[in-house]
Amino acid sequence: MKKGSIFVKPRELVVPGTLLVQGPFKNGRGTFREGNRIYSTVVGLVEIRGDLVRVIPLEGPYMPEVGDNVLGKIVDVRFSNWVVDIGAPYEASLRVQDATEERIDIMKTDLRRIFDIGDVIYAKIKAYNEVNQIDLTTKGMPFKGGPLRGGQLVTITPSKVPRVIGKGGSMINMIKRLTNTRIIVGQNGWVWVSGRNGELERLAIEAILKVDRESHTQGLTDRVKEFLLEKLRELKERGVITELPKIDEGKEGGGNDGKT
Amino acid sequence: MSDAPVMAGIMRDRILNLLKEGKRIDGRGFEDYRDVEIKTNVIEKAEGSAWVRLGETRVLVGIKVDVGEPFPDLPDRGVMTTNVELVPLASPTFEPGPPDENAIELARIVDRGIRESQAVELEKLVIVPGKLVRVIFIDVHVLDHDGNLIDATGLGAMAALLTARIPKLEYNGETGELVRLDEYEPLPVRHVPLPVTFAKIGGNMVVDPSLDEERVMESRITVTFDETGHVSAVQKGEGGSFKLEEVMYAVDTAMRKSSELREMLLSSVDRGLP
Amino acid sequence: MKVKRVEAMMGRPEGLKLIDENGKRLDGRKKYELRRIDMEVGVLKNADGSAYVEWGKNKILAAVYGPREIHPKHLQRPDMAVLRVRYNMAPFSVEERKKPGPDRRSVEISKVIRGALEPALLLEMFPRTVIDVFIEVLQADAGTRVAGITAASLALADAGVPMRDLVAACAAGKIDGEIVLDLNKDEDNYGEADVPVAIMPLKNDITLLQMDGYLTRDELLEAVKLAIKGAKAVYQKQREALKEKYLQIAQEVAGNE
Repeated sequence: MKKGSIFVKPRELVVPGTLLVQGPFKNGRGTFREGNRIYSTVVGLVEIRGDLVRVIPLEGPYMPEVGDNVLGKIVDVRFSNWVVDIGAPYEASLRVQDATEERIDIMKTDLRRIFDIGDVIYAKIKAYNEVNQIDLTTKGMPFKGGPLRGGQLVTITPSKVPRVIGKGGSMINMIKRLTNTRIIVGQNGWVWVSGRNGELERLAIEAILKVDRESHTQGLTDRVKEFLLEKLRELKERGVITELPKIDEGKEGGGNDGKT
Repeated sequence: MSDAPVMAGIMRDRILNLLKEGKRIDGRGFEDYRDVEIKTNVIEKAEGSAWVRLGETRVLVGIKVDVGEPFPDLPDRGVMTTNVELVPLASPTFEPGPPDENAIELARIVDRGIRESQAVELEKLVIVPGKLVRVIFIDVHVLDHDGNLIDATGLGAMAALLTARIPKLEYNGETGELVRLDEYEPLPVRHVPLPVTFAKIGGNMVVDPSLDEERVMESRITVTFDETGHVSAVQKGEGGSFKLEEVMYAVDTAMRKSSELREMLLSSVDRGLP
Repeated sequence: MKVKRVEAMMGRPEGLKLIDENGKRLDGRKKYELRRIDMEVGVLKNADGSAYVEWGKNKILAAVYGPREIHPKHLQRPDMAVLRVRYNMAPFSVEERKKPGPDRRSVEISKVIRGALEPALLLEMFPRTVIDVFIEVLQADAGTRVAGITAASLALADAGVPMRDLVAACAAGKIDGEIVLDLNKDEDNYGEADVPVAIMPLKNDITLLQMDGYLTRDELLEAVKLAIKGAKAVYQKQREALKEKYLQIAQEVAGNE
């Protein structure tokens, strides 16, 4: 560590305006710099890696970044594009040529037959420019970018997405395996959960919301596993499921179903 | 601030750079008012009126006096209200319609300054306690907006109040008849509170900001003093912030500047202190 | 209509003393004592951020929506987010029913509250959007604007809107010739002046300052300094309230193990 003072502990819970460090540090997300001092701008957990100081927010809007995979909802169909709500401060746009490999004659095609209002799509952020225009693409996305059929949509705080996915997909894999569901976690905090069994689907959602709510606490993975197993035992007693799923750690599971 | 049109960047830079050298864009010192001109009794139909020019800012204030009921909880006081109209002819940023937040804030700052110092002797404006009192309307028409509407309005309101003449009334207690006599008397005024407004620009405090200065200011503060050395209103306006020392500077400077303004006002209305 | 001070003198009960011979005020407080203040963060489901503040008999709810798209479009600013503030009093919040909707007083208060919050926000991070702050006064007992600012600042932090600092507020005033902290309704009615102040505590930046009443220069400055002290105490409670939401979850989780 270079010279400088650190006024907070790792993973300390801070509020806006808290002095974090002074000296030769770089300020990352959730902070602002004044002179050689760095302060937090959000309620969140401090993270200092090398000389980079960040605060992982516990609440806050989704800020789009090029390359993010997000879930979105079609809110309007225009002449040659769709308007998509991705939960960001700005509406996103999906142009026809970014939606499909086929050549489409927009004069003759009703775009609503491809994506209609209310459809949930899975898209990548292709561009995010200085006038806050967000361009999406669904080309090459899993599930052909949608529309997703069945399942449910839940929202979590975008900054907690990494926690829900877990290291190397550990958390999301566990939830999927134990609840036998398909799950897509968008970087924007929108999560699609689909299971053949309604009760298991609901259980998966409960687990995801638990991670969202308790993201700032320790031992979360174990606790979520305990929670799921307990609920599963209850479901078995009630005859909803016939046997408990096996917990073989480290095996595939496929990670985020939305992984490209 | 928020509703000001975009300002040319070079003007902003010029204003800020000059301030760093201790100068203002129009050559004034930090504590100088622009040129002030006051004319009174300019509207014959009004019981009192004043036209004020502060630099290129022009406001017209009219006093109308009526008879009405007192507030139930203030049976022994006349009624006074202040209203400001930012009419569209005065600025491209003013829209027709009911008073917006800028007009309301302006009216309320000036009203508070007058009311809280009890400048108008409202207790002398009672005809029948609890039933019938004089109602004083202070109506402000902004005619040309070149910054610092607050101080221009404060000056105009006091000039109009000081020169207003109201008809004498005769009340017949038995018949309940109220007769308006052909005799006039001055409106009873006991204090002369005047607002002094500062803009904070690039950390500098300047008095009487022009419109160009208002467009680049971070913040604004107004302090209203009367001639007894009492403060009867303070208002920090717009965004930005002040240090305690800056507030103290504003208070002390306002005390000085308001007494200069008061002297000028009283000589222009040809009156001594009430 | 603002007729408070004169009204006070008229309506003031005969022989009423706002400060007794032991230096105690009507509600038993000392001169420099705040009323009881309770704060809770994250109290509403729909809002992006929310807070509830009970300050003496004041009951105040604040909610934040955004940053979000602004309509109509011509209101948007190309270089920063627009902050909108609506301070509103419920009809049942005061002794005599208040006509619903904005009056001149609430329009002015909304404007000065916006000015008090704005310097704390990094609005330049969200061009072309709006951040809406709604403050609902459910019960009023003097000092609603400082309680409202305090609640709004918590709601903004709860919404994750990036801030340079929290904004904490408190009022001081003059009653029976003495400068005291945090006037309640009776003191405001029968007192001589009220001085609401908001600060960003990190650097002691004053973001709201008003005075309604009649004070000498020295009294005014004494009141401002006292209100700043009060706001700093309020700030400590804000920090605790913001952390409390998460500490509670952490404790609950730990307790289950």
